Amino acid sequence: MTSRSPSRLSSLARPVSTMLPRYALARRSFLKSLGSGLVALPFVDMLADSVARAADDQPLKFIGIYHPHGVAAEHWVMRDTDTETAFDLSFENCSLAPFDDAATYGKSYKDKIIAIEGIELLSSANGHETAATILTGSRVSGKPSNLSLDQYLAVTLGLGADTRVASAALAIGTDGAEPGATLSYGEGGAPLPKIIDPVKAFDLFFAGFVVGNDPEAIAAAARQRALGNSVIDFVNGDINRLRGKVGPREQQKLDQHLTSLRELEKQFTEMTSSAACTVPTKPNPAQFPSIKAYNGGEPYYDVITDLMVDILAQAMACDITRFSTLYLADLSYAGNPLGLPADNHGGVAHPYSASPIGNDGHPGGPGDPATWLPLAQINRYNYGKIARLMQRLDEFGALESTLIYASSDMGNPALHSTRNVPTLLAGGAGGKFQMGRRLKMPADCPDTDIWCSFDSPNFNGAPNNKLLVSIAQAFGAEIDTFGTQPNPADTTGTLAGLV
Amino acid sequence: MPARIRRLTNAEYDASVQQLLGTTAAPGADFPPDTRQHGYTVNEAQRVDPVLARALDASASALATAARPSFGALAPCADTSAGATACAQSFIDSFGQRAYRRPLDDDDRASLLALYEAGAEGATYEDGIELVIRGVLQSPGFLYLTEIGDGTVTDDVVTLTDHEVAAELSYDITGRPPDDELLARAADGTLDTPEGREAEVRRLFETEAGRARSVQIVREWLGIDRIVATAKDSEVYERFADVRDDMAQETNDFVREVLSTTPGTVSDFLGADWTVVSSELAAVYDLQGSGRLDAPQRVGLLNQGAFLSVYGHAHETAPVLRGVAILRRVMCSDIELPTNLDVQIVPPIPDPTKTTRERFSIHALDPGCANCHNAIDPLGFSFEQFDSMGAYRTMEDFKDSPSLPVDSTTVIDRGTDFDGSYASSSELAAAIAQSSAVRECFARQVFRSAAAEGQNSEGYEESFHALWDTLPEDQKGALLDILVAYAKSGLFTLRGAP
Repeated sequence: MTSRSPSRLSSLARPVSTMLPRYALARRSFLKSLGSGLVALPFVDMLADSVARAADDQPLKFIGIYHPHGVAAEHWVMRDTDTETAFDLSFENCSLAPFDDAATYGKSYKDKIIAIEGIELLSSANGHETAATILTGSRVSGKPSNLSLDQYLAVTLGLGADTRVASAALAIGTDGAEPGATLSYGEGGAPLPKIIDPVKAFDLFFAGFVVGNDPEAIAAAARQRALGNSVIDFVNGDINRLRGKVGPREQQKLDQHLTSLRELEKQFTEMTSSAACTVPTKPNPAQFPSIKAYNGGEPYYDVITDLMVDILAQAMACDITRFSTLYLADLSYAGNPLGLPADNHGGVAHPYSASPIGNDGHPGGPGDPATWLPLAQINRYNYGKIARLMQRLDEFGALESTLIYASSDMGNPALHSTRNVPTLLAGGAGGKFQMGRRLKMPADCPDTDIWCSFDSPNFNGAPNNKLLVSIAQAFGAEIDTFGTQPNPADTTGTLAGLV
Repeated sequence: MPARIRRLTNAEYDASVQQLLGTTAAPGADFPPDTRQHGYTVNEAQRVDPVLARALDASASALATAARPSFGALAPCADTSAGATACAQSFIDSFGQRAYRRPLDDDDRASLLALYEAGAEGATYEDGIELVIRGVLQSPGFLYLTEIGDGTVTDDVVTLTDHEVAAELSYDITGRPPDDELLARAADGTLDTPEGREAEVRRLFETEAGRARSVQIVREWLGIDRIVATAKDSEVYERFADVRDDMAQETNDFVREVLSTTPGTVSDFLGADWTVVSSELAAVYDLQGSGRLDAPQRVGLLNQGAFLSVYGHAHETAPVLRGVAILRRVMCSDIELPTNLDVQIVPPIPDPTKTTRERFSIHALDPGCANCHNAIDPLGFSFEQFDSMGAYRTMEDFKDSPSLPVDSTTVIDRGTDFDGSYASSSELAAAIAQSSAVRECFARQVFRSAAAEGQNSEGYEESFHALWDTLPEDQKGALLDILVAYAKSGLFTLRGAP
């Protein structure tokens, strides 16, 4: 009856019951709240040109990124002459080239990435629903069964509690909650909504921060904060009275509501951080008259993506948030800058005809090189956005303390395969991982059983669960299992060779 | 069903603030989308997550500020210098009761008055009222429909209060808060009786809000509300973007016409040999004129643009999606996902020497695929006479090679009560419309859409099915009669104790 009952399958190591928020029910005094803070100064000074510079002890930050349409392995995998630490990204049409492109991104970030081959997403679902597995490590049946890594770190472990925004879910073009379009999940695999409007993303992080030095404006802002807090106190009180009248399942709904109010409350709290921080320019909606896929938003995806990347990088650098997901989109519109068919999905991903490098061991011919290139262009485009994110973080002094995990939902998109999914770690990772490497996991199935199922004893793949465990441990989590799979071996342990 | 609370859907939120404040604003349209269960937005799984909490506060704040010009009528006060608190108490009583859909208790009054004082302190009476409105619109009393009774438990069962029943009935049938008439029936005890509830369901069903809610139920039943977010490759389907909204409008107009001119049964929804279209959509359909038009080649909702486009790929038809939609939504048959069966999905590769049907027929040849696809494909293939945006065709066109003739004949041989040979999807739809299994599924779907227990509803569905089974034959397939049967039942008014 309650959706919080622990899964029968292997689940998160931490007992679910300890994840529930506990609330001090004492209500704040309205008048005290109203009377204080009137003379306090805002922490952001718009005139200051200083930016937050990396201190050695900057807290570690996490960004999970989805990019669509799998991968053209022919333009992505290690070449024969590459080694783990000495590899070339500048060969013709290499889709990882943006990470070694100082002319475009200011410097080479080759020593700040780890590209990993041979990762499997054990969704047991159609490739299109497998985005849900990237940060949950869960099988997907309508939704995943457990929360996502960003939420585990930010909420369960409380690593996001000290920042203005505990965690953020940003996306381009689609605000739907279906598993194919969502990376962030709360308890029980409840999809969390995404922000697709750059203006709303800006407001989430920066609204109300800038009040200038005008005493009247400062007083007005203080009153607004006080009123906001009064409303939250009022709603808190009402929820707690209702909470006493309902059963456990309904209490869980109200507990989530209370958690959300606590997040909202941060909007009405003065920042006490002493960090100096430059607020980016508020996006101009005229740049993107439409933002939703299928409602004419597509022509603006490129500019929307750049705005989201820039806002996110600044928010991370200002320590306004430490946890975010970013769901990237394709460029499915006529006249797109890559010169690809208007329907990227039907016109690029499906026709991909792989060579043996990209067909998961499926017996077949040499493939059609003409179909590799358009897909590699899509991959390269998305990696370019990740390189831009790294460049911005670097400019703001936050790259060293950031760990980016980027993945597609599929490997070979024509097969809708969830095997050999392109996997990238990027950033300085706070020194937790040795960056500047290419890793290749062992073959997932033996030659005698190349299509072995995930449940077969022959399966020896590298589920991304192990990567999630490695990342969680890098953040200090004392767990050795993450995700929901029938076989505990798939969810347990770190990714071999990563650290 | 258990004693429960259910957050208003975004559409219900909009209807509620509109009724409460007399505004035409629809802020819920910009909220994060509702969680769906079984395809339905009305369900107990809706939550208030941090993004929504922020949106709710922004919306409440904007609505409260916008309401200030009407405070004279909403919160009148002859002398704000002397009697402001009394005026505020009076406003809180009237406004709070309407917003919470129940009388206030002392705790409600005290906390609302404290909120008023926080807003008015060092400011004005109006500032206090504004803050009360902002708070009320975020209060659980407003945001959640409660079905928890008055605290009295008898044999582990609670009976919903008259106000709870009124709210449940009103949102189920109209998607809005109770009107004055319904509140009067709640007050005089009429809603305690099945007959009293039936009369109110029948009255509300015929209202404009009732019609809009019926359209929503039908759309969510077939998943065709997604037409507004459906896209096609403009290089293949050039006309689609121009008629997409017309397709959404067609569903709206068609459902209303069915309810106004027929018994309003599933047979009418799926078997009508006419539709209601704009002239632009008529042109796509090869029909002349606009409005209600005979369309014998386009029988029922399954052969209209919204269904055919939602269940179509961006660049070609989707026989599998169409077939699966009929199995799942119309026949309540849970077809397994191939991945749960460890079947590797290999979408048929493009091949300009074969029709879509010929390419997809590969499924029937692979023993791993055939078991399910022998159920799916014969349904889906019968629609091949319609392209992926629902335009009629006899030939399938290719970019660089000759067109090929399409084949929409089919044989259904799966032990259904509509097994047989059909020349087209319209013939098939006419048969499906008369199926008793489909009628039974429709009743189950209508129950799901109203009962709001989402994925947990299976057990309650059996209880409902048992009472539905006792209905007269002519009522079993009718949307209104199914809703009446639910509203009259104990499922509607009784809940398991918390």
